[in-house]
Amino acid sequence: MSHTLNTARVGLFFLLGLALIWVVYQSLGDGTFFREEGYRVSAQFDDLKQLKPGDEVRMAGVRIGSVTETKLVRGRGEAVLTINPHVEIPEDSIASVAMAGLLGNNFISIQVGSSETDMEEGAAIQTRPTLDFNDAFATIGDITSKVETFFEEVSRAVAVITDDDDGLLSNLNEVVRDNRDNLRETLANLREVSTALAEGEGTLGRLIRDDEAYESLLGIGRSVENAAGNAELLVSDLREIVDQIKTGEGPLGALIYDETTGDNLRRIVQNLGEVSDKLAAGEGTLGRLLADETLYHDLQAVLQKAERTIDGLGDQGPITAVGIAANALF
Amino acid sequence: MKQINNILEHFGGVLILCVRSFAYLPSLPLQWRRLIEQCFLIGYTTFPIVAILSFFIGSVLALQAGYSLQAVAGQDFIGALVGLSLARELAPVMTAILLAGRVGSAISAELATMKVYQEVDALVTMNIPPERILVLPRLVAILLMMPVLTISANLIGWLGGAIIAQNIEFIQLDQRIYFQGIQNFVKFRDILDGLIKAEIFGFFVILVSCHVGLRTTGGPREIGASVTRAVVISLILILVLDYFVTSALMKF
Repeated sequence: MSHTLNTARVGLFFLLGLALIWVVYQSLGDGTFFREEGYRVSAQFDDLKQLKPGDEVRMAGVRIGSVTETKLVRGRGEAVLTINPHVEIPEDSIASVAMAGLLGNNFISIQVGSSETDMEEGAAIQTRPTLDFNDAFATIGDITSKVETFFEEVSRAVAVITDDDDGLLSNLNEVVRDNRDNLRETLANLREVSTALAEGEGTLGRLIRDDEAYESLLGIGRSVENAAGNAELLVSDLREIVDQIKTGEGPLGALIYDETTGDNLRRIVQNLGEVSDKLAAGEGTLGRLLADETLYHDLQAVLQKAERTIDGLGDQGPITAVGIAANALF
Repeated sequence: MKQINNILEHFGGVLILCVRSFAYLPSLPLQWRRLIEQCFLIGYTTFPIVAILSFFIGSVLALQAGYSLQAVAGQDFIGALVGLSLARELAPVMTAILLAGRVGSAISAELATMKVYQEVDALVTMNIPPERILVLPRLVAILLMMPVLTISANLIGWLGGAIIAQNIEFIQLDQRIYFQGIQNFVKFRDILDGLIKAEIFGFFVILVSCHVGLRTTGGPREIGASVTRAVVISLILILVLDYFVTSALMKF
């Protein structure tokens, strides 16, 4: 009884163990004890990266086989891929070494071609190199060295600027040091001015602060505007006048543009010429007065007589005056 | 010199015992009851302690991995780590150590007692080779039971890791991610390597225990010394063999 029970227990236990092994075998899925079934395809790469036998071969992300062997063929790495027998790979498919994660798990990725014919046992598949971290880091290294040289240049330039004896900064320093007092004063003045401005002192300050100033400025502006308007009016009036003159309207226009006036003027000038001619020729009273010398002599004589008379008068001036007065009275 | 001689004697004795025992393999069907009994003792009754041990090994692995990987945000790899270390190393070794402690000691004590009380001599007198009825059923039983124990240890350990990884607040790894990690990183080959290792360890633990038990001479005090010797030799043998078997398996 006890023995049969134990036998049953042992049997059940053993079967359970086998079942567990089978479950694990199924769920882990890859199901590879040793060699895989399938046909072999070779792929040559310049660099197999970390590809090793046992890595997966995937087409469109689906596992279709595995790498069975890696070897060196004339300086190139050759990977022998074992592909599941029911998977067909078009002849122009391209294989590349891809990375399955940051931990360096590599696999062969096959990009499906469009050819009608499929690969056969022992065929070679086209390959394409892939950029991996090493290449990327090499590129980054190049960039880094360039950046380094750039910064070296920058630091050299900075060294020129900050050179202790002759650099730009030291010169600047000197300038600042020498003019420290001036600068301080300037700054103080500036501060004063700005505070004055802020407080509304001075013209500018008031201008800034005071509304009246603004208003008056506005007024001035307005007056200027008015004046400009007047000037414009004036100009337009002037233009009108000039236009009128041009068209011969008004006295000035008539003077300038009317021919009858011109004729009159011409006749006047002619008459004046005649008169002056007659005067010159000594014709007429005025002419004779101007041209006849006898008249001049007569005049001279008269004037001399007058002078003498006046002289005489001058001698007995007061008496005469009194006499005249007396004469007049008496 | 004497000690080297001793070690060599042990070595040879174990080999001879192994060969002699398997020479009686054809008689196995006749003593299948004995085989079942040994299977029951070695496998069935050892299972609970193996289950408890592997559950907590898986848990503590997940806990340590979660704690350590926290810094690098690599907690998605807890599944892979727990799965691989259990399958390749911890499940077989821990099961073998348990076996040495629980079963090996019992076997060596039983055989040493039989030897000390001259039961073995009586068997020889009756022309029944002790290897046939005492050693062979045990060796076959351990070969049958060890894979079952180890695969159970694997699965229970994974489960323990999953429970811890999901429920500890600073890990909180989804079970799907955990088991996906196991699925992606643990290949059946790893499980198979673990089972092969466990088979070898278990076989040698039982063989050494039988050998040490049967070699016991003197009085009852020697029984205890034999048990101690059997367990110590088994443990050393497990850890030394572990290295060589693992490196050998990696080459295939």
